[in-house]
Amino acid sequence: MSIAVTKPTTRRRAWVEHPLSLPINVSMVLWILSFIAVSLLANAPWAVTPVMFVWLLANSAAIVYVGMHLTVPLDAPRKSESEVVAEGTSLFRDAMYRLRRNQMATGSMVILLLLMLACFSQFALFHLIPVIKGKDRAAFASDSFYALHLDHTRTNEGETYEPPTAQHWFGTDSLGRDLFARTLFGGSVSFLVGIVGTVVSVSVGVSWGAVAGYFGGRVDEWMMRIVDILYGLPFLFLVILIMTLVNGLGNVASSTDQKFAEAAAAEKAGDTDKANAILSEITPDQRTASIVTKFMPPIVVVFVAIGLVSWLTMARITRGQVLSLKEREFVVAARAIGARAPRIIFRHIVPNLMGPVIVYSTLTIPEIMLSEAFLSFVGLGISEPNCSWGSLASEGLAGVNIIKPYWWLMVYPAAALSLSLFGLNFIGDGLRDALDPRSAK
Amino acid sequence: MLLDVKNLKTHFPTQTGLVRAVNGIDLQVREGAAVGIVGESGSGKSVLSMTMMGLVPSPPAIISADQVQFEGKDLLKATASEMRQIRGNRLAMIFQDPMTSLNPFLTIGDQLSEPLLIHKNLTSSQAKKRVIELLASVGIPDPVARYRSYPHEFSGGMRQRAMVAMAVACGPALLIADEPTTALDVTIQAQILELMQSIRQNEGTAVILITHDMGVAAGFCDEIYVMYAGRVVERGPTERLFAEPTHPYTKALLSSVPRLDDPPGGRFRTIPGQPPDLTNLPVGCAFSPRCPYVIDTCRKEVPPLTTVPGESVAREKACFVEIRGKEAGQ
Ligand SMILES: Nc1ncnc2c1ncn2[C@@H]1O[C@H](COP(=O)(O)OP(=O)(O)O)[C@@H](O)[C@H]1O
Ligand SMILES: [Mg+2]
Repeated sequence: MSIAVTKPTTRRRAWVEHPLSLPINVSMVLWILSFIAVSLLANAPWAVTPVMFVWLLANSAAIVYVGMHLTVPLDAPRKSESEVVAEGTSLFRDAMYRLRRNQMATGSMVILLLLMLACFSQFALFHLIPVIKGKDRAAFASDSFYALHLDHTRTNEGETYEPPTAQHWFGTDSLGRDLFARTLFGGSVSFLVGIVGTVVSVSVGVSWGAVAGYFGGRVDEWMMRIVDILYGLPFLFLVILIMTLVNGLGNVASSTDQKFAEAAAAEKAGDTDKANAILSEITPDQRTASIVTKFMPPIVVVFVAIGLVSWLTMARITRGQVLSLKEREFVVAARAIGARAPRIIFRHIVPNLMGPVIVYSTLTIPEIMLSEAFLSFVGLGISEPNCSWGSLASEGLAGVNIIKPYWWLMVYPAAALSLSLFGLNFIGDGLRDALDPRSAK
Repeated sequence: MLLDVKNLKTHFPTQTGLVRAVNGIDLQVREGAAVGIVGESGSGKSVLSMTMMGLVPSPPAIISADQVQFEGKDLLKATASEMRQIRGNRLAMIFQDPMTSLNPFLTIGDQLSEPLLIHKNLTSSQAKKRVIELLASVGIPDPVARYRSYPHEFSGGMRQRAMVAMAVACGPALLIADEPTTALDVTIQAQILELMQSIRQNEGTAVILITHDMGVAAGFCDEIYVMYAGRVVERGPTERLFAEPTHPYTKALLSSVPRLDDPPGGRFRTIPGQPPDLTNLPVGCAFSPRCPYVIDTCRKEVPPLTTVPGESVAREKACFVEIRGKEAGQ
């Protein structure tokens, strides 16, 4: 044990000190500028190609930028494991070092980031541009960048089932919608479902497991018995049940909304009696349904429903960890200073769970994305004209026939989905290996 | 009397039987006193301190006492929330291993602020100011920068200093230090003891120092309790107890301390026999199977803690035999 006073580690600011920081920072700025440019020039046909070019360039630079921080620093000499440990770095930094050395995981991260960036750019631009330009989606010229590459809802009767071309890179679907835009939008939805679902699953699972494990005894027994019971119920049954209930609620809500609209119309026409008559027909339940659906659109329900049934394993993992963590001396020390249970659980124990939680989360995201894909596949997930990779693949499957195989309808979304699932699994495996000190080599 | 414990028992029911870890302890600590508790590993010192802190979960443990009076309040009768208000505030504890008793994921500053935030209703900026003062007062260099360090960036000695600072943050009346220096090397050990001594003198904090090291106890404490198998076998002022032990176990402990005038290469003097099995204590005195002075009564009755006759200071021992001036086996 050394008694030497160790210098506090100064946090390295890689984006300033890195030898390539200048070109990378320039391309990041470029990326932001092109983002703005695409927004402003979206309706000008002449700008499409150059802006798209700059945009792609900047996107790649952004990816390289992130990738470089994830991979071994270019200027740092390779260190042996023992050197890293001898430096007295924390377990976490050790783990990050090991993760960076794992090429499958870092490669997956780069690819995933590229995919997510592309998807979320489309998602953002699709919603932002009409707001910035102050005009309707339909009002954009049909050869504009927006209509061609960003608007996944735009139908075109003359261009149904077009195979991939220079204009429609991924082809078009049965309504002539651009599959490139739809694949990007579907990606945003799939990633969002995966991420939000995982956040729900992790928050519920970790809290539940931590409370059960910390209090032990009766509390533990009851809480884990509930988990056991939920485990016994088929997962899809639960989700389908929730989705059906919500769909029912949605139907009630939309018919109620329609009545409200009728009443408002009657009011406007000066027919107050009729308006009152319509309003008096609306029951309190219908009102509630209408309000609830305002705050919980169906897509959010997909997130929550999947998250709510996938926290069980997280709860079990957490409980197991907490059982051993709560005997650790720093937890006893925290009790010795008079801390209450919530402080001990959420401030002292939960941060120490982050290793297994992060690993399990990265494996939960693909699992949830797959569940969403399945739900959309059987027609319970996202609804038209929105889409997810699952719903696109399902549509694509319908388009595959022997006489005229519209292969692109299925191949692109399915490829994107599989690529992400592979990537996430590689990252999860990489993290698990990296965080396990025994795997050090 | 700051702390007055009478007949404290902590028993753990286990598969193999009832573990009598603490088996009827009396303990008195005056304001500002330095009391040592010594005994071999497994004699119940840690369980005793954890029980006084209210940190032994019961059930499963079975805890009973005639009283555990602290600042006029019976700790065994206190509710969980009353107990939380005392812990870390009036009654604080330092643990053995500074490597494991700090949370690796929280900065030193965050951890040291906790008792202040919990007990003193300080705002976080007031707490930060106080913590930096505390870090400086326990001798941590550059406390402003150190506030943001993580435990792994501290050396062992500095972590134990930080633990001391955390324990005394709220100005407790009594500090229980359970083997605070066992995990440290000797020079650091001395520094930490010195630090605790200066806190005791400056703040008037009473200290219970738990250790298995007779040397440490001798250097720090005014009064010493010797524990064996969950009981106090002897108590008395440090000088007298060291000069002339009245219990065979104390005598054995003292003579097992290696000395400079020992012949080099000689064998270590150990106490013959096995430490007692707490689930299956012998009838009578727990030390009797290992005791060179044993008489028949020792194997039948448990010797009570009684005043040692012929002493100018208050001393007590739990032994039927007068061993002063006697050699073993006589
Ligand atoms: N929770 C528990 N359950 C059962 N036995 C215990 C428990 N805690 C401590 N003990 C036993 O109590 C005895 C005293 O332990 P301890 O107080 O740690 O000794 P020490 O004097 O070394 O600090 C040991 O034999 C130990 O095995
Ligand atoms: Mg101990």
